[in-house]
Amino acid sequence: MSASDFAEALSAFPTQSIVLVNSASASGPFVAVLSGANRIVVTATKSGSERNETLFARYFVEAFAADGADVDKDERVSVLEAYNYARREVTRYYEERGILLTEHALLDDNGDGVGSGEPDPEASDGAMARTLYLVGLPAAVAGDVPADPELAALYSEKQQLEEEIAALRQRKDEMDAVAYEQQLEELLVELTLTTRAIRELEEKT
Amino acid sequence: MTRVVALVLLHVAWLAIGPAAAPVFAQQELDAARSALRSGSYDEAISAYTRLARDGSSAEATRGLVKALAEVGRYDDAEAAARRFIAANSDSPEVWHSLGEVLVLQGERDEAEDAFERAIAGRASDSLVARLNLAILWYDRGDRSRAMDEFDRFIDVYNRGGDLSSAELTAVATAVRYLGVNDPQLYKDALRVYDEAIAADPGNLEPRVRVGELFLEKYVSEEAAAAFEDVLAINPSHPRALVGMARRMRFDGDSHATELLERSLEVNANFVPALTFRSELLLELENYEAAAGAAERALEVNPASLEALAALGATRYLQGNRRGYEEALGRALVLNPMYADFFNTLADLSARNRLYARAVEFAQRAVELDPESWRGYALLGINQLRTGDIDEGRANLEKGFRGNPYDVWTKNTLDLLDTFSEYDETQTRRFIFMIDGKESELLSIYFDGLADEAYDRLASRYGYQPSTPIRIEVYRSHADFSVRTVGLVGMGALGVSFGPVIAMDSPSAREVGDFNWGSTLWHELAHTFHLSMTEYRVPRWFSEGLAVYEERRARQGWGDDVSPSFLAALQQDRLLAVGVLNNGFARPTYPEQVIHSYYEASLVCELIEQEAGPQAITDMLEAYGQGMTTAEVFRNVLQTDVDDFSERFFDYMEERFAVPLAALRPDRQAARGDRPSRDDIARWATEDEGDFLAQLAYGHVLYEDGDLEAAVPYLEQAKALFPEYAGAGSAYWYLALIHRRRGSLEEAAAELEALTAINARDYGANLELAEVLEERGRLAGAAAALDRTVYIYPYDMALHARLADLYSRTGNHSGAVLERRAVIALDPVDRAEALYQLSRAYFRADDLANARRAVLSALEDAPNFEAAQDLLLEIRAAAGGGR
Repeated sequence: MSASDFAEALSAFPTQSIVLVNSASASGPFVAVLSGANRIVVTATKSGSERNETLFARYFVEAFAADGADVDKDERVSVLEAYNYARREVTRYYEERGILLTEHALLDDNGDGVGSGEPDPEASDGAMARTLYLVGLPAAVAGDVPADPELAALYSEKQQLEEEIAALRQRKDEMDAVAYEQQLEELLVELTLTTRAIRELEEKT
Repeated sequence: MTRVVALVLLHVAWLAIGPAAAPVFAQQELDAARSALRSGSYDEAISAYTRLARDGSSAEATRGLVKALAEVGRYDDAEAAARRFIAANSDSPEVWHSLGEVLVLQGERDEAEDAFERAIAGRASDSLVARLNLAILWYDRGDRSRAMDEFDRFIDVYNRGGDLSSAELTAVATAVRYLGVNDPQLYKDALRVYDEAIAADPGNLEPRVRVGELFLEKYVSEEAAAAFEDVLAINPSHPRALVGMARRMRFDGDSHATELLERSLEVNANFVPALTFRSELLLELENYEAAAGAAERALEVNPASLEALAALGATRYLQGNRRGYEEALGRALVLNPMYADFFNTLADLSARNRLYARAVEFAQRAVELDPESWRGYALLGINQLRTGDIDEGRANLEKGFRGNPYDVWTKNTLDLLDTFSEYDETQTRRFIFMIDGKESELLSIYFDGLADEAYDRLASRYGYQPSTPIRIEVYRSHADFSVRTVGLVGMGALGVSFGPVIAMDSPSAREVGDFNWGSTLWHELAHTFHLSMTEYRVPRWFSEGLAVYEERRARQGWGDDVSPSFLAALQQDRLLAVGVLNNGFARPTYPEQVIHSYYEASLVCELIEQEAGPQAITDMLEAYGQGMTTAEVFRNVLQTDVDDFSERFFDYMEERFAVPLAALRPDRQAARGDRPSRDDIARWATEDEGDFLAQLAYGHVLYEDGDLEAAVPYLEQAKALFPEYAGAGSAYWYLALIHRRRGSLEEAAAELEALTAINARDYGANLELAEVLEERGRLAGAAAALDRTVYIYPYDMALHARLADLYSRTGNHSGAVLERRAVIALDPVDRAEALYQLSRAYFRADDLANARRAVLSALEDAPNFEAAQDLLLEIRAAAGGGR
């Protein structure tokens, strides 16, 4: 099937979130053709001229099965985490053998038809892939409000702390390093204690 | 009566054929003479030309005779032949140019000038060539503008068109080549016109030789070789082509350069360029007396030879003979006040003798004397880079390159400098490390610690501290390292010390197991000490021997060890006596001689220390620093004649290696060939139990057959016959594999421990040993084995994690920290986990500040990483920070 064939087939799902991973050699041109809203397109190569057999699929699948891809330790591997894992492991494979890298993977999820080799959710691609998982999330992580009001409050507090940490990270480059570390530590301690409180409460119930 | 009649008839017959046939005959003989001269049959050519020139009327024959005599160095005879013709033909200008050429070769410059002018004034058929030689004479006297004006006129000659002969086209090309100093594009034109000259007369070797010399001047070795090969294919005895080819070979590090040089001198014992080159080669061997002798011999032939004066000046300088140096310099500057190449030669030869700071000074004087000495700028820049002055070095190389963009060495070095932006420079207490940004984080972890340790130990050993910072450049590409060192790719070395600057291969530049970067760094730092202590006067053999010896002292299993090939060389008298050991490095006569010389020199140092104590080594370095020769150093410091010591040293080797020497059969080995059959190996092993290689080979065969039990006695016997052998396929290795397969882990460990104690560079053996020891619960030993692999191949992330774990389990928390840092430097996908592990290692090492920083970084990436969250609280509690 060509990229156009896929485009036609996928047009039947205009509102759903779609993840399409083409791990074949010479798969790069799929990005331009299939890029669109609510879509994550991953290809093993950056162009149609990278024709050697690819390793990307092996590591992309491994990301969901082995330890190491869940870099934010939320117990789930997002599409972005799996992509990053596969990309780095492919690169390492080639470097360790002293051979030239013949596949450069791409990810596109902002619909601009241009894939990113190293996605940056804040600047280019990756924002959607960071939040999309191939399996369902625990209810709390997915945003469902627990019935227990105390637990709900704790989850709300936790979420607020996570947002504050994310906001602090955004300001890192503008801040004094010592002040940044102090504020980060305070927020992380609060987050740790909140997480522990959640765990204790959940164990009781 | 009968006889009288017959004689008369013969006379009549001669008269009958004489008038018409004589010119034909003479032309044929002239052609034959010319052909003999071109093909290098000099005796035949001289005889033929002598016959033709006998009546004194043939200018062409005389010119040929003069040329033939000059090519074999019979300059007096050549001059006499020319003068005879001139005396007999005072109206003819045809031989004045030939006379001028011979006079130039003898240094009679005024007379030569007069001769060239007469040829020009008389409009001789070779007057254009005379004009060129006259201009060259002016150029060599320093009358640069007059010479350049004259060279410039050759462009007009060419542009006017007309039917120029091959010799005339060669003259035009040579003039254009001189003009290239101001307009480098003209070098291309020069080459084009040389090609035209070759096309005009393919038998004229002069343009081919000049093409070779031009390429040689620009360090374009392959093209130079091709040009000289073309000449030597026609005339294998051509002295200039032989010297040109020898110089090309020296440039490429080919040890056969001397053979070609000597061939040239066999043809022409008075050939000044050959004598000068011989002087330079002897200087590289640090044989100063012989070098001076060769230069002086050249000056006897041609007292005005600027090249010979430069070689003599360099020799005198390196001998420490200041007066002799000043004399040579004075003579050269009287002959040519703009002769920058005197200083360029000094700079080049100083650098070849590792006097890089002096090379900078000389090159500086060259460009001061002649601001258009592009070679001077190149030498200045290259040597400034070697002494660590990177910015100035680059600026001068750029100047040199602008003036001479065809200098391959300069171009390669500038290209390399452009890549320096990809390197990280980090300065520590004593060192500046320049490491490729892709691996600087990882390598800095290890390089800094090891370099510091080496500095401390060497400083303590020698009671001396070289000035710091020492710059250490680490190249991911061997080609880049090679360019940094010799300006070209293809050098085989692993590292080089210029004194304050060390350049070396990165472990990523080589195949795994090819080299041990740790011992290489140690080796090069040892050179830095030796060079600095002796003001760069230490001879190469002693510095190399000491550096290898220091490697062995640094870590068990580092440095070269004895090989069957080395012992075979000892048996076959192929190892050099101590007094001439330098030749093994500078002019190896067989492929393994350099490697053998390293090891041999290290044994010499070992024996000196054994006999005279460690202080003797330091005293010897100091004596070299005072300018003593090796013979003087042995006499004054060790109170022994170097040759006597050498005899004792060979006895020492015979005794030390008596067991393996008795087990080697080099002659039989050679007769066996490379691929003996299995049956042959079995027969040799069973017939001669004392044959090391047969025992080892049959052990291999049986192992490969899977007959492990049968293999063991042969491998054990091989080990007993040559216990020091721990190289590829050693008995230790195979016995370890067999023991492991049998489940005898302690025995396997013992074999591998013995192997790595001799040869710590074996990556596979260290990994195997680590596994075996870990299985046996001997964790410290396992960690030590893995630690050794880091000095061979530090890029295996899993290995660092494993080593960190072993260190943690054995309480070596600082070691664990180092290894966890290495994991992070290798850019793990799960960075949060790696930072968490690093934090734990810091925490265990009681480094709470770094533990806090690392765990915060882990949580910055993964705020919900619960293990890291717990650790953060633990760290805060330990630091008294509550919660």
